[in-house]
Formats: sequence, C-alpha cells, structure tokens
Amino acid sequence: MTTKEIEALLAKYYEGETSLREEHLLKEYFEGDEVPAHLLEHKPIFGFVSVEAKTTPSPEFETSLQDKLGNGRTVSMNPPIKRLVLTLSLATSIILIAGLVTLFRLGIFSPSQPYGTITDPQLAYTETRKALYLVSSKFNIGLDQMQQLETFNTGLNRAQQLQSFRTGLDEMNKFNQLEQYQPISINPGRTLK
Amino acid sequence: MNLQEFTSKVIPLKNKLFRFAKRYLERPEEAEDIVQEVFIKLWVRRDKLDEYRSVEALAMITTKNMCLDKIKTKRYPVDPIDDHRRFMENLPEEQKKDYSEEMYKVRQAMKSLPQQQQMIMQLRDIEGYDFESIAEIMEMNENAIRVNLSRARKRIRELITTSRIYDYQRN
Repeated sequence: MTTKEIEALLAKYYEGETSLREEHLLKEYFEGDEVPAHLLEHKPIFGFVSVEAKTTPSPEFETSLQDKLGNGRTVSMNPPIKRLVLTLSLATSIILIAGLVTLFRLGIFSPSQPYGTITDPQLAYTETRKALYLVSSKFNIGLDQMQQLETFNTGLNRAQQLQSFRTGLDEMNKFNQLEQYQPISINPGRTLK
Repeated sequence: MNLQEFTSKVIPLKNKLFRFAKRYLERPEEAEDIVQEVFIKLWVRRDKLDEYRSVEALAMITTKNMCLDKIKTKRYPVDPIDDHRRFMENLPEEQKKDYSEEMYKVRQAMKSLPQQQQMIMQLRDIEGYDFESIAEIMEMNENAIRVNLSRARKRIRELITTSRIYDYQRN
C-alpha cells in the first residue's frame, strides 16, 4: 500500500467512514516497520486497539466458570435456596391447613353433647337470668360508693396549686448562687484581708 | 437451547463481554463478576434464547445494562491511583512487551472520553462490530454512532498529539 492510500484511509478513519476491512488494513499497516515518520503519531492508536482486543479474563475465572457451567445444574447459585424456602413454606402451610381440617372433622371445636347438668333449657334460661340480675344489682351498689372518689379529685386539684409555691422556691434558689461568688481583688498588688 | 448449544454459542462470548464490562467498570474482578452474572441470567432464560435474532447482541446489551446499574447504584469508585508504572505492573506478562508507553497514553486519552464514546470505540475499533450491531447494542441510531465514533477518534488523536508536543518541549 502506498503512503498516499494510507493517508486517504486515515482521513476516512477519523471521519468514521472507513469500512471494517479498511480498518483492518490500517491496523496491519501500522503493525509493520515501514511507517514513515510523519505518520508515526497514528501508530499507537492502532497498536492500542490491537492489544486491547487480546485482553482476556483471568485463568481462575475460566476455571470457575467451567465449574459452574460444567454440570449445568449448579449454574444458578441463588435459585436453589429460594426454591428450598418456597418448598418449605408450601409444605408448612399444607400441613397447617390439613391439620385444622382434621381437627374440625373430628369435631373438637363443635361439641355434639350439651355441657353441664341441665336437662330443661327453659329452666336453665330463667336461672341464668336470675344470676345475671343479681350480679348487676350488686354491681350498681358498688358503683354508687365509687362516686365519692370525685371529692378526692377536687381535693387533688387544690393541691395542684402548691406547684406555684415550688416555682417561687426555684426563684429563691438563685440567691444560692450569690454565695458562690468570691470577692475578687481589683488591685493585684494587694491581697484582700 | 441446551447445555451443548449454550457452551458452543454463548460461552465463547466471554472475552468480548469481559472487555466490554471492563471498559465500563475498569476493575477486572468486577468485570468478571458481571460476565458471570450475565451468563447465569442467560442460562436461566435458555429456553427463550432461540427467539432472539442475535444472542450475542442480547448478551452485550445485558452486560451493558448490568454495568450501568452497578455504576449507578453503588456510586462506583474509580481507581484513584492509575499511573503508568502501576498499570504496567498489573498487566498480564504476555501483554507487557506489546504495550508501549505511547499506547498507554492512548488508553488514558480513551478513558477521558465520554462513556458512550468509549463504548462505541470499544465496539468498533477493538471488537470490530459493524455499525448495525453497535447501534443495536448501544440502542442508538447508526448515524449517531458514526458521529460519536468520529469524535472519539479525533479527540484521541488530539490528546496524544498535544502530549507529544508537551514531551518534546519538556525534553
């Protein structure tokens, strides 16, 4: 290739108009030793791209990749754990539901026999009514006595006023600070007696 | 898609995906993590992969999106110390002899470009994709790709030329 042709290709190259084949020619040309001095400034660019194209991952990467892909199954490292969690939670919920269904079926929660000793429902009803009535009447008596606590509350409100006494006391405390001040001698030559 | 197909069609993309992710994230370890996650994502969706016109484009887009997410959510820290000496130390043995100081300057110039331009240049000049594929991966139109590619190339030339002049004046 003549120098003229190379110069023309270079101009095209910098405009982004060369084809891949032409770029290949340029790389080959600049790898050679017959590059004239005025074109030497372009040499490192083509040298750089050629060397960069040879960069590969480390050998350790290759082996670890082969290990991971080698048997096809271990290729994904996270999914097995996710799958295990999913399976376990699925199993747990199935057992839980099945358990509850069996318990209901066995009739643990719905007693078929009536409780206690009653035989006549009507009698049981009136007795229960009586008992509840008794409780509510006694309850009300107790409530009346509770009302007296109200007077205690008013007393408590008055006691609140003592609070203002406390604030007054806090003010007084400031006088205490006065005692902390030491007499200062204004004239450093003479000591205070 | 079964394991055989996956191993023969998808896994060989690892180098391209790695370089693409590394261009975004800079740290090789982070790039490797992303590529691994991309493969896992694709493997999980292996039954649907045949529906895509190009699995390669899908893999590249997935890589791009995961890198962008990573940068966004974690306030991804850029390497604070990135001088020539350190860079050379971390370079694999087989690349050391090829990587001249001038080429390192090209790298630094590329790093200073807007992210999108870096990626377009990565896809075109380093990976050799056609404009149609780049447009698909970057989700831009072909014309915008061309314009950005031209800007990126010109800017790099400009940056390394000024650095040469600076070196010349200094010596």
